[in-house]
Amino acid sequence: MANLLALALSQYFCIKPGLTSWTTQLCCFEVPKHANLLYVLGGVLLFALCLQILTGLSMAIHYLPSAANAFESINELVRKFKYGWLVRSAHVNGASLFFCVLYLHIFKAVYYRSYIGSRKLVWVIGSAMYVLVLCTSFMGFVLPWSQLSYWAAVVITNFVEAVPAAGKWIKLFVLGGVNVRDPMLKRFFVFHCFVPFVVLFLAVLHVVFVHLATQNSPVPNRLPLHDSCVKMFPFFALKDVMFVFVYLLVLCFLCLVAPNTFLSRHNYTPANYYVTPTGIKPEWYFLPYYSVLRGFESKLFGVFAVMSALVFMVLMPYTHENLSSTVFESFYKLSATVLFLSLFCLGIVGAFEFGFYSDLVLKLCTTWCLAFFLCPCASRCWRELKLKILKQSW
Amino acid sequence: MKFSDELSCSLACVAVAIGIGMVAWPVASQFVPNAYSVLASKLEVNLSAISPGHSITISWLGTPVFVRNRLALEVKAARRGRVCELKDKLARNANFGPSCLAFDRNRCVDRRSENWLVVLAPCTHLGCIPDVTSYGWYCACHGSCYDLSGRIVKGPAPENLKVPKCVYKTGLLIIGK
Repeated sequence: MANLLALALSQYFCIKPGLTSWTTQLCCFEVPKHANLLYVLGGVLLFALCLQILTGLSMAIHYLPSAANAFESINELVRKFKYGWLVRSAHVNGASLFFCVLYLHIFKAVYYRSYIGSRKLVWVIGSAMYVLVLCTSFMGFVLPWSQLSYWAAVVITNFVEAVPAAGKWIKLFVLGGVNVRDPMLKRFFVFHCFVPFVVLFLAVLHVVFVHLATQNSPVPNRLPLHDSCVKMFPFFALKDVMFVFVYLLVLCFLCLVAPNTFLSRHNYTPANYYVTPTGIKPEWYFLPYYSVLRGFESKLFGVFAVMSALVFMVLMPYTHENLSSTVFESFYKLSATVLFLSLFCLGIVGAFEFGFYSDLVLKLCTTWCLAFFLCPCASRCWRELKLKILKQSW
Repeated sequence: MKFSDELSCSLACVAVAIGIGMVAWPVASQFVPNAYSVLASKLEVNLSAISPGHSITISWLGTPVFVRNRLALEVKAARRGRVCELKDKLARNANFGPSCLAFDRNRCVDRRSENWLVVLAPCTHLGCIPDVTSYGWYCACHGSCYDLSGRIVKGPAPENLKVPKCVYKTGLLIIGK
């Protein structure tokens, strides 16, 4: 049976140019020798996604998507069912850990420029997955219907309203009514269950395209090609498996020793429509976006800034493709590191109340992010303009 | 390709597009509630329970509403400021016209009962519920301050707190149409 399946799969994939067969791809795929620890994160992420789907589905068995029962149903799962606490804890902490690994994975791709050339599509699929995962985790955050979930939903849907022309309509579409109540909770539950499978499908595509394009190396073109690569199996496959265990170890630590690291007491209070708790803030992986959103006086500008950041990210393979002979290339790695540091700073700013210094940090970091995305475009335009002028003057 | 082939091809494309549209339209529309589920409703509030200087929060159509019985001192304080200095110069009062200016008398339920102030509780910035304070309201989410008339004086909120449609009869307040 397994052989038949492998045969069918290999025949299917053989049609695609560049892919030999399913099994040989798995065994004989070549990985650059220089691939460092950051290169195992993709495999770990795939495992983490499957684990999230598994724990999520087992929680969905107990969950009741209604404003009156949602909070209590999670409570019952934790208290009345065997290992319910473990499943919930693994899902909650797994989400945070997933984002931790995901951000490192994205950092790797930006730092080593794994998005150019034949890997353009890999990056575009990856960033689409990132946006989907952000949406999914936000919807999952709303599901327990705690104080923090409810007010997060209220605040974010009010941001959606700021979108010009379509804002009111989109808000009605998301809420399914005037207020944040049952209709929204139900559709969030359905989408939270459904979207991860879309992400899983995209993840498979992501891997297939990596295999089509061959893997990037941190030290490109240092050695002759036949010398610079080793087989994926067993060397890198075992390395991946080892880091899956490291991931599990950290997850176990979080679940068993510090299960409330990423939670606050407002996560354990049922939603109260009449009182907003003081000091609400989103999950840590949303904090950079949150600080930009609230940093602008007008809601529209905030929404526009976040949307443009996501669009810039998707378009990066096209804007940052040709950095050669620009000043930017010489300090690309430094500027990429500063980009991620500034995102980190934005996150810290988002976690606290506004003051003079946090406002300054916010402005500096936002400017740097904007510069990182726009400078290559601008320099390319400038070069082409100069060439045009030179041609005309000749 | 022959003309007749092109014609039948494009006709087929149009038919498929119409078919997809006919399926997608109702599927997408069912996300949005129809007019009947947002029925108008009336809510009666017994005002005798609210002593001067106090405020209550009630739920009207699922939205929290502040009903505040202001002291004479507070009314005086609310009327002291100048409208031209306000961030939002419109009254945002459903009982008066949309172009009414944000004088305190335009913010009240009607002009005879100046001590009663009825406003929708959600902050006009992002919908958090502000806390009742001695100088008006303070929203802890992003630091918007509203004065004793529910008008925005400081912070990111773009508009004054909205006044819903309501009628005042001695000792009784009817919110809604």
